[in-house]
Amino acid sequence: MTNEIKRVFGYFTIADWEREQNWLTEMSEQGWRFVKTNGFFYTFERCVPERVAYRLDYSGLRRGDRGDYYAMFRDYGWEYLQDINGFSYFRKPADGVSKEELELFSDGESRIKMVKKFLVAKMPLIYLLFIAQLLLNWDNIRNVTEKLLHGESLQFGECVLLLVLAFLVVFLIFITVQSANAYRRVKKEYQKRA
Amino acid sequence: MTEKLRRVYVPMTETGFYILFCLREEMHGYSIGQRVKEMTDGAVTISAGTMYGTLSKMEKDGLIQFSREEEKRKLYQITVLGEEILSLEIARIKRLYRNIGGV
Repeated sequence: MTNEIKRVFGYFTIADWEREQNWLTEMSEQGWRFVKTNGFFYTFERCVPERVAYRLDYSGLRRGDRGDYYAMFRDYGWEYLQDINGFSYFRKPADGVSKEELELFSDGESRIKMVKKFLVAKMPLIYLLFIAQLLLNWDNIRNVTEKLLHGESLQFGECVLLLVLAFLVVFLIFITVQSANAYRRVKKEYQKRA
Repeated sequence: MTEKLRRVYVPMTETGFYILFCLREEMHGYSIGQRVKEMTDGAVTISAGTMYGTLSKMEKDGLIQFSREEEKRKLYQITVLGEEILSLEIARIKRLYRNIGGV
């Protein structure tokens, strides 16, 4: 019998890892076991509905230095699935396992350290890409701005450029606010638990 | 021992204390977690990510050292510096216990 496979588009930003974990868990409860992702598309295969915990960790370790990292997670009962964008995906069957054993972090301090690690690693890159976009399109942007200031009408390409830039700005604000919120939430939890 | 290390590790978190305490014997991460669970009747759980992060940090700070590898698992042991910090912490906890009326 060949297994039924489906691919689903899923969009999760870097500050969205908890929502992603929950989504993978819900899918497995509906009988779709997570197979792999490329960051945008998620492949699932048909399975008997099962209770499984999915967890993402950002270790910040180089690929060659991870032997003992994977070994320890395996000892703890975590099956390693894959890596994408620096995040490692793990899963563990949830039946008959205590809530604490389904977490990767048992105190708030280590959890907040993980969040800090990937925000520090990723956010500068996102801003840098944006600045690079601005510089690459600098002449065009100046043209468009002057046209707008003089009330001249824009060409189609210039409208597109404007829209893309507006979208980037909105996205940048969105991801910054979202990261700040995620950080605050984890920090609040830290103060509660510590 | 530097003043900075003393500030970071005394007082210690419960997780940190038990890990350092266990490493007076050579052990790897998961077995430390199991030992701590036994010692505390299941009250203290140290999860995989927390265990890995704490061991890495303690190794970097020189409180413990890597001793050997066993099927990819890293075994660690406490260092002289680690012993010093551990005994400071034990003295602090004993004083605490005395002052709340323990013997």
